[in-house]
Amino acid sequence: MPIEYLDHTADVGLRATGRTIGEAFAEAARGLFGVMLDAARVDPSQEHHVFTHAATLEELLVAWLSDLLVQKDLTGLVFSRFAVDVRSEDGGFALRGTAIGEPLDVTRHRPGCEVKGISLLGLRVEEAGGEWTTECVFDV
Amino acid sequence: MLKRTSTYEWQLAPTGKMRVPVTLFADETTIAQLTADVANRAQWNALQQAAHVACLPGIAQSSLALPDVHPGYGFPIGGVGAFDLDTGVVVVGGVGFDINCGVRLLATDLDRSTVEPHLVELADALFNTVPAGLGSQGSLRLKPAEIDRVLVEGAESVVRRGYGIEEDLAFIEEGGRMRGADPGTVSDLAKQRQFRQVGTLGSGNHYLEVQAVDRILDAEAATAYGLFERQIVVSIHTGSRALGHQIGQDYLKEMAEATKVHGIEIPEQELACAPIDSLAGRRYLAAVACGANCAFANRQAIAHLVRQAFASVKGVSRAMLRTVYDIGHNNAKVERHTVAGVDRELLVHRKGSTRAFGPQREESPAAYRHVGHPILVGGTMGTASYVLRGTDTGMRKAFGSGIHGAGRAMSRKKAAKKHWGEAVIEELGTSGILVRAHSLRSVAEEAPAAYKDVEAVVGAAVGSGINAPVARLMPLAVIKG
Repeated sequence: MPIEYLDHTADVGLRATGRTIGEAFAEAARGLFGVMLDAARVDPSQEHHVFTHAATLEELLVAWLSDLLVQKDLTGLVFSRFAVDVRSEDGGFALRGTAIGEPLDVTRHRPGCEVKGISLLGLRVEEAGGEWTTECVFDV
Repeated sequence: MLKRTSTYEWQLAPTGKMRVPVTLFADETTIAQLTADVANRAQWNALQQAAHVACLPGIAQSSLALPDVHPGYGFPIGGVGAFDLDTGVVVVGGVGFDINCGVRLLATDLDRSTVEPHLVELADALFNTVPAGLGSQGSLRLKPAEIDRVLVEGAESVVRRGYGIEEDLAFIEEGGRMRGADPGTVSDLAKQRQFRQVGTLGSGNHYLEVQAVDRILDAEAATAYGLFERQIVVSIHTGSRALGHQIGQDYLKEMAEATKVHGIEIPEQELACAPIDSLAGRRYLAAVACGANCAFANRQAIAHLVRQAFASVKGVSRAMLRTVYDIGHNNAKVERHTVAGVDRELLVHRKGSTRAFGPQREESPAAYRHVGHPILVGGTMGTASYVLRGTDTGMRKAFGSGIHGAGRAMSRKKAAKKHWGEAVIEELGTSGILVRAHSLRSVAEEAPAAYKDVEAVVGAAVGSGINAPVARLMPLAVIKG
């Protein structure tokens, strides 16, 4: 199961996996929007590109997801499809990602609870047995 | 592991890297849950989080856990940590993303019999007037320069724009304006995100509730607060919205760096911190003050919209709505306290906890000083909320801190699996409680069964002596984002 929500009492924990780190990051983004709405109802018609750099993979995950959260408020765009490339660069890691979606429509997208931020609690990005796993906790 | 020191007070003695004990104010049910989480090696457990806070430099007296305690990130929710200004740290996880999330209580001059015949219309008016839920936008559109004014002046800035009355300000914590705010410490991104969000309720556990005063439990304090039995009141629970969230996100990164630069050993990443007396510490506190002022302004704007909603409903249109109090429950403030007989200034972090100063503190509004200011405690959609007040015992044992709500007992995932939004609304309807919600999924996640028993939580706060009861409020109509 590429996305699993974890039992945090007040907030929402997410575990997202993939065969590559890019896939795991893409699933994490899908999990993020899955908290906020029914992502299957979001028409993937507009692209938003992300380029970010961080010293560690964990910081990169937070930067990627935070960027998407910011877009929701700045442009009103919410996303359902993601493609992510992560590679070592300049002593850290660089992410080039595309998020595809459309403007939020509360009459169609079945809104849930807004995510306030990505905490550092339980944050991890690890590879084991040919699978990449990301874990984080969203403040709702 | 835990030593019981009185009926509702427990202590975890310092072990390992803990500099002070953990003091818990809780009933046996909560203690059983906390210790079970430790025994089961639960991934997140509040007792361990409180113990981690006790490891931080400069912490005074005790790391506290209040009766509504449950796992958070960094600090537990319902956690309090007070730090020496010279040797202590300021901790992002001790404030959280929703800076100065809190409650505004408005009181009408109406008996419930006047309002109940018009409750459906009133609930609809509130639902249509107060923007709430994911993506909602307020009518106040503030450009970055105008946002700067809000960040410094707080509630006063929106009163000046016609959202409310001057008399509101005296009954808001800090006068609705936290000092020390510096908009230069808040990113442009945070300000841009806030552009359309001033005067919006948010979602999740935020709400707007029409309530009736069910019982007066302290006649003197209730008289001071202007509360009477059967009175219609309105509670607004919301915070600093996207601006607060972005400050939290920005400073988590900045403080993680500061933790390394200052060589501070922290038990977990979410306790990223900086010495209070450092550039990073001062910047963060100036930003927190900005976030706090944004929350005060937000609740002030919504209070104004609530007045407009009442004015639009025939039968209640002449209602006068007065601010009883407005209090936050995620903040860090410099306060004067007595520790081991010595008066000291401390930076008190309260995460999911309110200030609860007892009588005769100058921080309370003059009209309330003889009894202490109100503490506003939210229940759930189907249960009571409470007005409490602080006590001398609370000042001595808990840095004048109070509970903020029932506290969650069940994850959102479990709650959504067990409950359907429509069924929750129907069930509340049979109890005479109207619900208007922008998200049925949120209603399920916020089902009353997902929370601890508010009566037990209040019982423990009162039984421990740190807070005292003033009035019990019951919901009549709930607006959810």
